[in-house]
Amino acid sequence: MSDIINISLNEENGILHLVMDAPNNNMMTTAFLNTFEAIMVKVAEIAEKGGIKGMVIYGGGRHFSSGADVGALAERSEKEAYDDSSDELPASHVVQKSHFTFLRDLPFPVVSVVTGFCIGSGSEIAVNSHYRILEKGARIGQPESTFGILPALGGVARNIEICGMKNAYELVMTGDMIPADQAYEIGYADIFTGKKQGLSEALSLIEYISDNFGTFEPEKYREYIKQYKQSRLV
Amino acid sequence: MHDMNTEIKEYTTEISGMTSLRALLDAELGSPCLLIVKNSKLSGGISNDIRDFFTKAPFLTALADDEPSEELAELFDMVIPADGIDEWTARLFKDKSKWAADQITACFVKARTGTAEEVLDCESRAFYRLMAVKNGGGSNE
Repeated sequence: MSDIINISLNEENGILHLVMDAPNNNMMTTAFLNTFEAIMVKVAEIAEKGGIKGMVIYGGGRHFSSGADVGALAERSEKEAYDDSSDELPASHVVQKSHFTFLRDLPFPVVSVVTGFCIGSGSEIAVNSHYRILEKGARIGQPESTFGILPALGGVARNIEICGMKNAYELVMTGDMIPADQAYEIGYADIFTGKKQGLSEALSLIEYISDNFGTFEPEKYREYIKQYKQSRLV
Repeated sequence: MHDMNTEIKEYTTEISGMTSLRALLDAELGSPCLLIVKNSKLSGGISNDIRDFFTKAPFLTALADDEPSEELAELFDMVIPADGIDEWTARLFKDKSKWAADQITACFVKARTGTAEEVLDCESRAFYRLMAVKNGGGSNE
């Protein structure tokens, strides 16, 4: 039954591995999102205890995520009351969104290793991470506007932050899927690797940050990766 | 030098032949998603009222120039290639109503001066407005 969602969270050598291995290339159905959010609660609890060097997020199969089930999304939002004249967003949306955006505030680096498709809300997991490592063959996109909506789990704000205004506007407005090398050129990817190299690169980045900076300060995430990349050139 | 020409389209307002950004202050610009300044040889300083215009513009601003000065590039929200503007804008707004494009664009305008939290909030509200229309409700189309 496709409702069985396999998203695992394990710790290895002080690094959390969040592996998404759900049906339909990690399509983000309601069941997927419920499981993902429950795991994010666990991540927050673990973060609170300390002692974690970083977290890597990746797909257990070929793809990072094929994104949201737009039909289910429409159905869910139809049930959520939103009065545009009030200040109140639906509470369920606020909670769900916080489980994406809080990744950026975690006290350790969060690295998404992107293989295959990374689309829509799947891409929003990636852009809410501090870093994105894209393997050759990956394709990313925010196609929500082609369905008459927009990415609302951080997809607009974070894409602007990491890709700049023009590139983010193009990504969000056109909904185009772009290959990994182009994603690297526009700043979406911090590192572009060959196939099967993303995870080891992510672990290397996390170890570098842990070894060289000790305490991870989220607001300095750009500084850390800059120094890491410089260290790789030596 | 040719005269300034303003072309108000559904999604964009395109201005060409401009020699000073000061002309923007009094120009009729319509209500575009994107103001595009193209084929213009801009000279003169950038006064506070011009900076104010670019900071407060309720639309995005794009300079179509392959070799813009650093000062101009920083003033506009984005710099785009001088050629291929029609194709680029057609790709951006394909199959979108003006209202939907406005909803999305507003989040980018917010990002010009707003905090990340404000942009995150803006995208959520835009999502629900768009979804209401998608679900057959709303009256903003």
